[in-house]
Amino acid sequence: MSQQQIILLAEWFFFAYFFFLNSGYLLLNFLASFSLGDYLESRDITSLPQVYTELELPISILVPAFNEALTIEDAVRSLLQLRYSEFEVIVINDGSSDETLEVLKQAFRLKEIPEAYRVRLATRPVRAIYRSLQHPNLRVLDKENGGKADSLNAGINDARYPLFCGVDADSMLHPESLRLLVRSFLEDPRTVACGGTVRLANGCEVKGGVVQRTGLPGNLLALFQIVEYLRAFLFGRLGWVPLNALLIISGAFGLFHKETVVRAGGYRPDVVGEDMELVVRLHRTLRREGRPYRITFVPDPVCWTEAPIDLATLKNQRVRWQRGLGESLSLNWPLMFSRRGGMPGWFAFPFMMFFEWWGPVFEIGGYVFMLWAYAIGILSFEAMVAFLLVAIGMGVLLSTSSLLLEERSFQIYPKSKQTVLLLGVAILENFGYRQLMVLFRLYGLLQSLFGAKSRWGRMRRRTLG
Amino acid sequence: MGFAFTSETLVAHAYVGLAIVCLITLAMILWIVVLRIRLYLGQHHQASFEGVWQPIFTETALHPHCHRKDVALPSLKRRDFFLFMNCWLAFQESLSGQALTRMNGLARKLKLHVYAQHLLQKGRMRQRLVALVFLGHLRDRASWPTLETLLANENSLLSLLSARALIQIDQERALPLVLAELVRREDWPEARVAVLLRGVLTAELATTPLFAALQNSTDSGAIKLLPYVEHMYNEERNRILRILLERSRSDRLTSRILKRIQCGQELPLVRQYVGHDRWHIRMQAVAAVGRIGQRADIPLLLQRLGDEEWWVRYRASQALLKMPGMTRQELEVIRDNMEDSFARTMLEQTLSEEGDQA
Repeated sequence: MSQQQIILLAEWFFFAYFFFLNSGYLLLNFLASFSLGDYLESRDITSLPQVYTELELPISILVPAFNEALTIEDAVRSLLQLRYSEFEVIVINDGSSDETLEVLKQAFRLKEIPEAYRVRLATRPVRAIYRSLQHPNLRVLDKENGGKADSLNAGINDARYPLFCGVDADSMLHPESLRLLVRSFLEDPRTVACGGTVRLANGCEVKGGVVQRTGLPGNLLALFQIVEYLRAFLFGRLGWVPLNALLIISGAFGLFHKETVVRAGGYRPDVVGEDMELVVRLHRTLRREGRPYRITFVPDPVCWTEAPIDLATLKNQRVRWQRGLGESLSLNWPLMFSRRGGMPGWFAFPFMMFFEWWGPVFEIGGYVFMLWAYAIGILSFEAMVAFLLVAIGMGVLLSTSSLLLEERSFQIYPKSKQTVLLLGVAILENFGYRQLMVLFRLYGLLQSLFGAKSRWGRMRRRTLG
Repeated sequence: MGFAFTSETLVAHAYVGLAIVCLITLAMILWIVVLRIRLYLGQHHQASFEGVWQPIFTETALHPHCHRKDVALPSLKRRDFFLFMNCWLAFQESLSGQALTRMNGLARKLKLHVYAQHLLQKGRMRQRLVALVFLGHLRDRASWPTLETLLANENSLLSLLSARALIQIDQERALPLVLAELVRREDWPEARVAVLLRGVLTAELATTPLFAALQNSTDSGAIKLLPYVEHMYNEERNRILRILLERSRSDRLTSRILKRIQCGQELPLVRQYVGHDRWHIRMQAVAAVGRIGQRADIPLLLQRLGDEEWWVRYRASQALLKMPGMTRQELEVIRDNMEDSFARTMLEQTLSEEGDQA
């Protein structure tokens, strides 16, 4: 093949990639818009939370904790205050080396109980099970260190209710969050999992682990992430719901049908992104078995978390996510283009693989190719600038369309000047921030290819309240 | 050059693309601005509308003379009819008794029922849904034929809200229609139906139609109707549960029936299911024995303490504790004599839980 032909091929490849990437995201936003319209209409008419009370399915809330001595008491107290008819909170102390267990023992008057613990999913040994004398619906499992997935599996083994909800110890849940999520299970018995929208609490007024008033942070990095969460983690995911092809439910807050998860083998303890891996495996298993099922997502702001405000922490987070994505996809290859793969196998999986997992290689490859083509004189400076402007313009378009969807739906930032600020950020994030995220993702991809051991993701945080 | 794009072609294509992208982005920004302005104007209009009408609603709800024909009301523009209906519904939800009747009188005086009937036929989906709820609250008998047609509508929300409106208008007449539709449809969520029927199903009203519907239904139909047997008179309830249990061919139905058994007369039948192949049936049977069993059932329960399923063991140990005359001491002796370690741990847990509760 001559050099000319190679260049021709590369040109076509990068343009096609660029075209399908942006069209894909625009299509997802378009689908999200319909999905959101239906959801809001149905919710407006029938939102009478109190009448569901008697029918709500009981839920086990699982809180894995590793060295969370500083925050665990507040986190558990805020969970115990959730408005829901019947739920239990199971904290799983994953062999913390700090005072996590002692804090829990003192704060909630724990008493060791001889519970007939049933091992349905293999985990590291459970050392003891405690019950709170103050709160009958609180139990604590003390186990040997095995990671977050291992802790969740231990929690599932001990859970008594048909639905379980994995929650990060640092997540702040809306008091009505369980009610909003459980509706999917009540209204469609085929539902096996439902994800909750995670929003960023930076800049919000938080009291007792609950967001009292929304606001925007002063930190530019956090502001960028707010727009990014809207674009990629809310409307990007909502678009997959009508296709029943949602592949990610955030580990920060998701509700699952316990028996289905146990049948699928529970969480894999040897991966970084155990949350995504489980969802992809659920699709694979249920599709293979030919069982009707639904994996859905609630767009209401139900869970709040703190975004990293320094580059080092942000980089670690993104590298971890990228590795998790890679593992989830590579461990579930058989789903792709499988006979019974349906929308997840034929659309969502390839989309995630080409545009999310391998995306950084192609995106950076595209930029490098343009620079190289300019350097050897086959591309003019004007053409290179034009290409970059279109790339940036598409980025702005996508972010703006997400802001538009937010404006049409939840309007969680009520002031006009907040909207103006977000619009400014939606433009600004395309000049550096997004490219930086691509670099972090590339680093994560390389790490996943050359393998590094999985461990608990740590994050430097400020206390929000 | 034989490339796909020369620099010039690329620039030309890129700028056309960029112009399109910029235009769409600007249109979206404009849309956001419009939405913001609409939001502010809407909030302002609603506030002033409520400022005028909320006091009238309160006055109407509190004072019987308010909806007399000679009492003048502020003019209500047609464009505000829908807003009025929404405010009226929100206010109505918090009322009961005569206040509801007076609010209905107010809506009729303003001829809102005519507008709602029009929306029900020709409105957009959201308007039709609001009209359905509105006419239901108004107990608008004139809408009955339309509502009956809508009950069979493919859209489950429309049909469910029609069912609710029909029940509000005439419970006795609506109940057989709604139960028949419940058995027929696959798309009505159980939870919503339960909400719909809650408060309507009194023993007097529900016993006969439910008995008939259950007797004539298939197993899958019976599963849908079973949650409502609690509302029947005890005698008929026990009779129909026995009939269903004897003829059930569905494990799911059997399990659900066992969960509801409260009558000691059914004990011999229940015992037959304690060793069933399906664990959830064993679990429900064991729990039922706990509710209605006798001391003679203790050996049966002890056997289940060694069941391979955790829940069956758990329910068996709880059932043991509920056996007539069973004491904590006796159960401790049973525990100490158990050879099976699973059974022993389970009894230990139940005793510990019971101790905590005490």
